[in-house]
Amino acid sequence: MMIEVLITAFMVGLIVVGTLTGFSVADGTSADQRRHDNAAVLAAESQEQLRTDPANALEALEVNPHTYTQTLNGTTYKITESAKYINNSTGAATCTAPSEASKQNSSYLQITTVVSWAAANSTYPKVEQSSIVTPPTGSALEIDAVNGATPEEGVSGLSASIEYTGVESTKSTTVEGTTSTNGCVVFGAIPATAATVTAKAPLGYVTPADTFKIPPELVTLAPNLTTHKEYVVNRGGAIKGEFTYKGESTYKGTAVTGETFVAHNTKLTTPSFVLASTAYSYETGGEERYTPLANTNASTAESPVHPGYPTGNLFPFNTEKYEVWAGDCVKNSITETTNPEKLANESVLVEPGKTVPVKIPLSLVTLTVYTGKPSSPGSAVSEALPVRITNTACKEPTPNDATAPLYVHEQTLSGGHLKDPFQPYGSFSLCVYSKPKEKNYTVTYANEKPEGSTRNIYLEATEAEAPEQKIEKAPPASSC
Amino acid sequence: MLTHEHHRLDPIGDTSGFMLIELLVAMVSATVVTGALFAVLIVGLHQTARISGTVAATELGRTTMTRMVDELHSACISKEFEPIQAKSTESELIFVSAVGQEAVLKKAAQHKIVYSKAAGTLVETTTPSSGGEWPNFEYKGTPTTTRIGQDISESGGKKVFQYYKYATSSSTTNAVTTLTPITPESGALTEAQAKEAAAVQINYAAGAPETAQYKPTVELSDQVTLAFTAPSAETPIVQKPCE
Repeated sequence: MMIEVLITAFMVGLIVVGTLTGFSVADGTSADQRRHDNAAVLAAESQEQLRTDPANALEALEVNPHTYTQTLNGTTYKITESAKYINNSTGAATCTAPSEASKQNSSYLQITTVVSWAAANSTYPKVEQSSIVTPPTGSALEIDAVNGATPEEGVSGLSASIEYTGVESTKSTTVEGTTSTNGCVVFGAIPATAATVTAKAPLGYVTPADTFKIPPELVTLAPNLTTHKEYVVNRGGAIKGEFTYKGESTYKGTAVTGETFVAHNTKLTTPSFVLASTAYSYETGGEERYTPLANTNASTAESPVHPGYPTGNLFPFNTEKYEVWAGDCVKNSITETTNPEKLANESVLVEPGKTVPVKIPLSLVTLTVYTGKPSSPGSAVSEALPVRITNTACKEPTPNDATAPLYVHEQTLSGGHLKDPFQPYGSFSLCVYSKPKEKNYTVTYANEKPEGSTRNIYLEATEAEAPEQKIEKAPPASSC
Repeated sequence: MLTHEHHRLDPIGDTSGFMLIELLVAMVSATVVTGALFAVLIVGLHQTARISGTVAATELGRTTMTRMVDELHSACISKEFEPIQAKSTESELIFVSAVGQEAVLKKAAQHKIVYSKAAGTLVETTTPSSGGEWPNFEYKGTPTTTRIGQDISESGGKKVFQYYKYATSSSTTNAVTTLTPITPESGALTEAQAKEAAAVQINYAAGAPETAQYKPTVELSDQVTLAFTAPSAETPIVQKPCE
């Protein structure tokens, strides 16, 4: 009957399908095996090729593994070659920058080849082969990059280039590498006893000298040992200072303005401070140092920011705050004066890559320039006579990464008074020039508390009549 | 519930049973099933024979390869020794190797491995050292000849023996390598070329033995670098064999 026929046909179909499926699975398994075998052969070939490479070529593979494809029997295989130094005693990767214990000699190079293909699966996975290569007799140099924090961490991405002339060569050899996530890179098999190291921090990173450029350095290599060269770099930060008088940003309805402030940290490279200003210029080329510009009064100033350190050049010590104060150098710190009110400087912790706000206290200098003499002062001068304030104590040193110290500030009189009367703490010399009289009138003052100093200048007085002021005959070319 | 009718005996002469069509269908079905089973059996047997042939070819081919590679791995008998000998060709490899516990070896052997395309064999002639001093021995001893491989053919157009020397810089066309091929002048390595030979690549296809029902070939390839260490990191790379 029809039902038997149908059942029989169904069974036959089932058997045929089962048989074909069996063939297909067997074929697939066989193909997987073949691909796996081919991958093993390609990995072995790659390993043998890598064994012929000099140490520097293998070192380059640590950060940038080499990948290529090869087609065999219709299957495209992706082959990735890498290498790294291994410490013989621990069997681990040689260097971990922050750990003193890991700064050991690199014993051998481990070369690794990974071969993968599209149809790789869990039963027949990608093939990975590793072997070791004995480096030739020679010196090694380990470049360590750490972030200077507590606890210290490695910095990846610091590129280092070393140049040396091998004992068998007349030409110099340049080898380049970049610190790994452990913060280090090893240059091995160097047939020389000295090498010039040029390091370049990642963009935005600065050194404790507040520079982003690291000058080349000649490093002596211990024969047949690993020499360690450490660089401390971290992402730079910035401080934005708001000038205040007695804690307020305005005084009698007028904005408190200033020009410069100092960001000081004892952990920085000597002289341990950066000079922040309301305006800057930068060197083009070379070390691209900053030049703080004077004579632009504003209510805020910010530490230098440059394309080379887009988030600032202040090194971020996570355990040491920056002390900040208005002025041009360490001598403007309130603690450098007699400080009768026992005031302290503002301090702030700079974080990597961030701009932190801080208030910068100023003192008030009340200067009045009279037309007469002490016995008959007359009125305050109405002309906008030029004024030069010299921060004599800050003639040196040059702030970190700056082109020169800044210690002279100029402004004008307004109504017989300083146009910008809020000034830093410390000792200053103030000079007013009268063009009609062709005279320089100089007084000195010391700001040691917020109230600052009060000084008068009398244009008609002699030095005997006004002993506080020094008067010099000065043609325009010799104005103060 | 069963009825009385269901228990009734079939009357004598009842003609009901398998119809012809049913019988035919059953027969055809049985034939198809049996045929399929036979097909499976035959395919399985062929597959087994094919695999056996491949396994045999691989086993024999790898044994041959291992022997040559092991000997080449012992070819650097001293620092900066040049184990590959002049007159080596793409089908004839002549080299020196030695094994021993001493730092200064007292004897070595010269090996000559010849690939015969006509015979499909790899034959090795080993001549022991008869004099001279390490590492410059003389090889005038009594040679012994051994057939180390049979059913051998060239693999994918590659020569059986290919020689390489160190380049002055690494290249990354495919794998990162510092080797560059040596093309034998007039078919054979000159003295100068032999002194530079720092790696030998061996390529061939191994076949199954005569007794195998199927005779698949297995392509085998291996390379031996004649070096103690990696080259020094300098430009240009200055590296000789066995450094």
